Amino acid sequence: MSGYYHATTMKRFIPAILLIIVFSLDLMVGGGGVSWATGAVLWKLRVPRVLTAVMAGGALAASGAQMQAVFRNPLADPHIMGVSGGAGLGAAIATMALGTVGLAFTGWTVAAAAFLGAALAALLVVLVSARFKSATTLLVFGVMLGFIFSAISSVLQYTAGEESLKLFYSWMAGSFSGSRYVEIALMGGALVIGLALAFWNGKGLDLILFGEEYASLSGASTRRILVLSMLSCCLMTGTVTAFCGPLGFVGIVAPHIARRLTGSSAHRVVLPCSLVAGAVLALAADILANLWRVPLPAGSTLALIGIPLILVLLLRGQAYNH
Amino acid sequence: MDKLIIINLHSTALQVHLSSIGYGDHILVRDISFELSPGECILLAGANGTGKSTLLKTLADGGMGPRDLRSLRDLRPSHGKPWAPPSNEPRVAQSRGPMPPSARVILIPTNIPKVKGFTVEAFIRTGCYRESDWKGRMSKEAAERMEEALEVLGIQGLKERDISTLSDGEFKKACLAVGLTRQAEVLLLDEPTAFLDVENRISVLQTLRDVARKTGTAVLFSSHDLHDALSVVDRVFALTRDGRFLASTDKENVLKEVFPSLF
Repeated sequence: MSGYYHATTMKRFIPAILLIIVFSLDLMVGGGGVSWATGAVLWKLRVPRVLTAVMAGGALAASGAQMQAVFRNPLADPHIMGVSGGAGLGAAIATMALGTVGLAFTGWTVAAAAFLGAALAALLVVLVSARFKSATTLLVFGVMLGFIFSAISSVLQYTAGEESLKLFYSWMAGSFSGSRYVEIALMGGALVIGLALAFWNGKGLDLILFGEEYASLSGASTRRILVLSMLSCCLMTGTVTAFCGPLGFVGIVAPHIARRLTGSSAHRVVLPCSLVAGAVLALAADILANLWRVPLPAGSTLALIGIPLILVLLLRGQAYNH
Repeated sequence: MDKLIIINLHSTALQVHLSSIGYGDHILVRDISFELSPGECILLAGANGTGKSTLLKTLADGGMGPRDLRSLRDLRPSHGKPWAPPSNEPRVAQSRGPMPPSARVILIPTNIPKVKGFTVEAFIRTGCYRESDWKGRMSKEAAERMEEALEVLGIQGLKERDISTLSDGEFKKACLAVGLTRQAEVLLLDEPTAFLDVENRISVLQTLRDVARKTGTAVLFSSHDLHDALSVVDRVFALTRDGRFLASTDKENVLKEVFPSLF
């Protein structure tokens, strides 16, 4: 038993050790391959990019861990609640609809619009949660909301000009590059508040894993647990998506890795471990994206790394046992 | 459901008077009136759909304290719409006043999932939501109660085991430990013997009786395993198909009235 415990304790440090390694490696990648960088290239390009990847990966993973608990669904991630669709619609409106009426659009306009879109989706879900008490019904609502937002975005794309389409697609492809320290500070702030909410809600998240009825009978308010986790997820995912575009798979796969490594489903263990695992995945995707002369979209490299991992975890039966 | 009074006297763990229970306009049972004494073990019998679970949920709801009533709004079977605000429901207003905070009527539902990644200890701590701080740490007293509960239930050795590796019988006992750690004065169990094999069924039933005897907790459980349950209970409550509530120490006769073909 002690040997088992020791092995589990050691496993908990694997993501942290990996984080240091990929963090350092990612700093060495850029400009079309592996190269040392100093001065402005290091501090203005690489460090911001690497920090963005860490925060984006961590925020999406911590959001995913909460969504999987609240919906008791191994495939839930922050995007499932229509948040990403909302952000997409916001970005589409900023790049295409506003462009056609002659308003100037910049990276910040797109980010602000995307965040507003994500917030709108979150607000709708929270409002609707008062009516639909069941998490499953709410999940269906979130997914449908996402589809509606995507449909409207598609209509906008159909009528958009070439220039605005290019801008929209570059946002949609996802990227960790291009952030300055202001944006990083904003993401950091959202991450800190979102995590604080998640930890505060931690014992509620643990309890809700056993079902809404059991949670209510234990004296918890299931609505409070749901709303707190939605707020946390939307703040973190909304901010990250606004600056980096919609990034999938980290939110799904990182919490599974965390539970697997720690052998625990308790959120005070799963949340920090997911955060680190998410950051490692995002850094790995960023390394893969920046090895080439023309950087690949981070959304695609994340999928290339994330999907095989999900498949391995699912096939080995290590997903949530619900 | 016009009236529910719960008081906590030394000789009475729970006193209940309900004019009716049901959902909306559909009334399942009328005129429910009974008292539970500390240390009593009682079987709640009745065919499917006669309102056993509804009665248990109603009792648990009433016993959990004013703050909890709000969170249980959607679970509580009652007259009117399920989502009706508490102000429209006289029963809620009534139970806010006289109910002493120490009346702890705790319901353990049938199908709690065995979620992987929780030790028995962590599972108990998680279930003690109201009894722990925001980090999920239990008070010293609660931790002591947990140790006592594990001892009474004979599962001290399972404390560090992951609940997903427990047998169904062992897990039922872990669920009971949650109720005892939460200092239940009345423990309600919805079909604790469902899906259990004969051996585990007998073991769980005997444990229920032992818990009642050793801890002074009143235990009321529903079950379809009438023959096995009869041997461990002091009294039988039965719900008939025509919505009557029967209570008697003459156990077999009560069951004969409800299930004439079986006895």
